[in-house]
Amino acid sequence: MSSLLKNRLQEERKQWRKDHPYGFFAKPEKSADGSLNLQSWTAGVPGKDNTIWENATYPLTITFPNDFPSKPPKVRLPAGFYHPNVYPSGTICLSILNEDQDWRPGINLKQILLGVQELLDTPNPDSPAQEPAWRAFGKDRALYEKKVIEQAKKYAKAG
Amino acid sequence: MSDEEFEYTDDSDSLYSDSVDDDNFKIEDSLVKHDIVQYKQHTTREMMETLHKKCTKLSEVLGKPHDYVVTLLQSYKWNSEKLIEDYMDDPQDVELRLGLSTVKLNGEHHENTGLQTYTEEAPFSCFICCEDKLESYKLKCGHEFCLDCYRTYLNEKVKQANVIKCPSCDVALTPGDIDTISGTNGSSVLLENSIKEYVERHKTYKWCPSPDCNAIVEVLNSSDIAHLVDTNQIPIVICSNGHRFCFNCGFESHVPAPCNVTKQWINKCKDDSETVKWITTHTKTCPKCDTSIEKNGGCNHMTCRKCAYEFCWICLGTWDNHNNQYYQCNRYQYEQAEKNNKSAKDKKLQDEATKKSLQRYLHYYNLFNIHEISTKQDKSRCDVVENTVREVQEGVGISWIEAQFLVDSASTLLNARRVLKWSYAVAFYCDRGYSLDLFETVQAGLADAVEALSLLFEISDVEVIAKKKLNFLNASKLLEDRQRAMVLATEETINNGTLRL
Repeated sequence: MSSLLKNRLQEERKQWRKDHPYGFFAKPEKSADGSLNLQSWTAGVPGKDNTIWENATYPLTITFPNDFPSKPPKVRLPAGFYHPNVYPSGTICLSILNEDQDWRPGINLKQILLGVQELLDTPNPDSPAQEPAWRAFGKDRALYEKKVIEQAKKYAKAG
Repeated sequence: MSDEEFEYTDDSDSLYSDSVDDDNFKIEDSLVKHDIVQYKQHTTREMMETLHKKCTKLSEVLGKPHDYVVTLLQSYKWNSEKLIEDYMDDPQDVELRLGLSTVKLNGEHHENTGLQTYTEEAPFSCFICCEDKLESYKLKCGHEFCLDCYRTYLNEKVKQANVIKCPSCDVALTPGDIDTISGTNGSSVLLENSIKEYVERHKTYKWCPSPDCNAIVEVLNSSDIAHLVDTNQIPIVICSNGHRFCFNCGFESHVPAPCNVTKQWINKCKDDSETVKWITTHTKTCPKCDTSIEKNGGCNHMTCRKCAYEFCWICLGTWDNHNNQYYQCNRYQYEQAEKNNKSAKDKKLQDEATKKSLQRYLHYYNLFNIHEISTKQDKSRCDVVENTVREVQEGVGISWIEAQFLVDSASTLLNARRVLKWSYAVAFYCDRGYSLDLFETVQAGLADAVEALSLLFEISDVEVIAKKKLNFLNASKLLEDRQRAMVLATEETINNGTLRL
């Protein structure tokens, strides 16, 4: 791991521990030998209150490439996640996570996770990443909401 | 028709720069008719000034600084109408959207923006590289990054011609910010890239397609172009470096071929020429199943992979007859012919037709290609014509103006050869008939005249060149006449409706 990458990821961790929004979590994965793998994180994003996404925390995996922060990290929800802008693989289609669009090296983890939370309830119908959720969102809103609420139950907060 | 009718009228002269207002540019244009396209020539620098003027004007309208308007227009892809409309509607919304306002940034207001310097004792820790640095830059959003990271970031972003935003949020960098950070005129690089976008986005502008030429042409009656093209007229324009090109195709001048002929011809050449060339030189077709076969070994005993037919590569007859008379194929040609006569006559006819059409295409393609290559050779010779002029001047002791016939002849030659080249594309799409006979007679005349002048340029002895001045002038005059005749003949052929696309 290059020193730039390592320093930056340690800084991300430091900043996150110092200050992160309520209901969110993010931490580097533990390797089998107990050491931390700073390039691979798990995180949780809560659905906003008073939306169909509420009362659930959605699990994310974040992979930082070797040329981070020149290149954006890859952020994934579980495969098969129901959302118009999430690919069947779980990869999230979000402009700030796209190198050719709005990714900039100064964007930090907090901004990314807040961006994902924002995306949950305000999908972008112009860049569909999967068919079922996109179609339902456009054509059959009742079905869409039903599916989202079912999904929220699956990821419901403990207790 | 008298020659005078083809002279182009000077009433719109102010639009063209004098340097290209050369005699020989007039001839080709009997078909083009200069007044059908009204245009202006621009250089990249002029375009830059145009954009800056646009900004200055708008900055007065909006009452905002120049820098600020540049950024606004860049975000609006130089669509000032849309910008004014939106801005008049809700200026705050525009500013917020484009990152030109910090109102929404948690209400924070940051003083001391711009370059920041630190000391070794209390250095600045940059979030991007996480290193301690002494120099940084801070935007009005309060985000601050070291100059090294900022420069890397800017180098990457200026290529994209978009407004550059803070590495962390959506606040836009103004040209002033960019120049201060990069320490050079980074913002003008960005603006230059914006010109590319501007030209490509506006239908009234086109880049000159000549290699290494970055001149721009702006057509003033762009709404007429489609009509011109529909009626087989060619919207030829000349860039400020003297390159002629078709504004519709964005391609070198293809007079006398109309745009649709040009397009089909180019596509055909692209699809067929290379493949056809390779196939004809490297393969023969299996006498039984017509598969193209490439011989990759020395033996002439061939077995078709597809139909397993065994045959002789030399006479294409069946191998059975070769057992005793190895490779003595001459006698089998007769038998082969007889056999063909007996069987599959229809198929043969069909093959012939395909072959004929291919041969016809190859005929015209070869002619076209030969002149394309010759054009390149002529061009390299004409490029040094200025040197020849100097040599003639010095060697023979005549004045500069007296030696100018060389420059004129060179340019006549180049134009005429291009017309000749494209006339072959037209011929390919013409029906056989009286009209084409006439066309080809004129074409042959033009080809003669082209070669005659080209031959004169082979002379390298300056004294001979000076002596042959009259020959140059006569050959050029003849060539101009024939070129004019070619353009007219094409026009007539097209008007007679013999074009088959």
